Amino acid sequence: MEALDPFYVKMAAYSGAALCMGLGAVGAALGEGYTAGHAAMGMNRQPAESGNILRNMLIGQAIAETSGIFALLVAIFLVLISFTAALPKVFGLLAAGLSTGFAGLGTGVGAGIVSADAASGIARQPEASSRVTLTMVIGQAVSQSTTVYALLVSLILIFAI
Amino acid sequence: MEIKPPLPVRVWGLDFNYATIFMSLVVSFILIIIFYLATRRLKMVPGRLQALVEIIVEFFDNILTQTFGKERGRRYLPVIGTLFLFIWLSNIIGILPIPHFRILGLPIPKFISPTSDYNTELALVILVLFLVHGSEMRIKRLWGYLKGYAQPYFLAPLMIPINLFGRLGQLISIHFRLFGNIFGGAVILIIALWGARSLAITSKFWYCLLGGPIQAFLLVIPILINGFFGLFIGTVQAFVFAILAMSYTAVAIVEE
Repeated sequence: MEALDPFYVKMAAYSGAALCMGLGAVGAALGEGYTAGHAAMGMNRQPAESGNILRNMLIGQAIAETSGIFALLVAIFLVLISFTAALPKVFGLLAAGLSTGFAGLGTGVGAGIVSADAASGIARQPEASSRVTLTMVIGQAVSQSTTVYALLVSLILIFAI
Repeated sequence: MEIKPPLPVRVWGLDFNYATIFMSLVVSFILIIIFYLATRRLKMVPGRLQALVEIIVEFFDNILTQTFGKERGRRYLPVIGTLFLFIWLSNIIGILPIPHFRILGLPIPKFISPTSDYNTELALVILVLFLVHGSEMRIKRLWGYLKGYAQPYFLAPLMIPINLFGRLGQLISIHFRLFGNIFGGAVILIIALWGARSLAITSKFWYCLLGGPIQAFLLVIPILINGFFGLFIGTVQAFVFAILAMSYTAVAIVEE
């Protein structure tokens, strides 16, 4: 294989990192903001349950944040590791960024919708709060499986090709 | 700057991550000692330590008895509770800033979370594999377990590969999520410490720009990141792991 200018590899890695973190941040931010909004509305309806709703909101946001953390991890790898200069690597690095980025965009919003509705659910029926939180955690975790797979693909693209 | 994995130790041609194994043992011993001390003299009116342990046990007891029913929930309580406690303490032990040192020639590694090493997650997911599939086999017997992969029967040739990948995907997502979160936290902390160090080295520039107090405040950021990832994300992800292991088991052993 003929040697490639390392400039192109760097270019691919940097644009992959930027796309990854950008898209992942959009998803996580939308989801978390939506959750916080619904939690605030729920507190408006049931001020006595504020502590419960706040705890539920924080747990939900911490799980919705996962996609952002994964995007940051991939972006840091792409920026800091020095790669071999070869043509497949260029596409691999760009694709690694896109994989986790788009997955984070979707699952951030999805997990946010779950925790937002859990917050309004607790406001409507406070006595079911422990069941609602448990179902929310399971549902968010399952809905985020796809980000985990995308992270796996990104890491394979970065380290194995 | 580079991110180095902990140095492996070579024994009989196999590589062992000394730091990971040492820290896992430390976590296990801490848990054993706390629970031994708390349950040594059980009282009706609990003391401080017993009350703390009772909160954790009762929390999981409630969840498990709601999910499995009274008798079966009590049977699964020890394994799910231990999974949570081990992962939880593993995640938060990494925030202790203890450097590498030696006691009587025994090297004590720098304190890291055992869960930031992929091998720990691999061990945990093998445990979950045996828990989920083993309890399903025990309740449905081998033939019932195998039949489960072909459901719904009228689409059997299509459903067998789909079900197989579904079960595999469960296991991949449960352990890789934990690894991604904890390892991501560790990497981000290294970056933040590196940033703080370069901030301290080029202090004249930053001092002129920001003034002393603000610069000192910026050096606190790694500590905040450490606390966020260790305490908050660590607790939530340990809970998610235990609850997912529980719900996979609950779905697997449902009888029609």
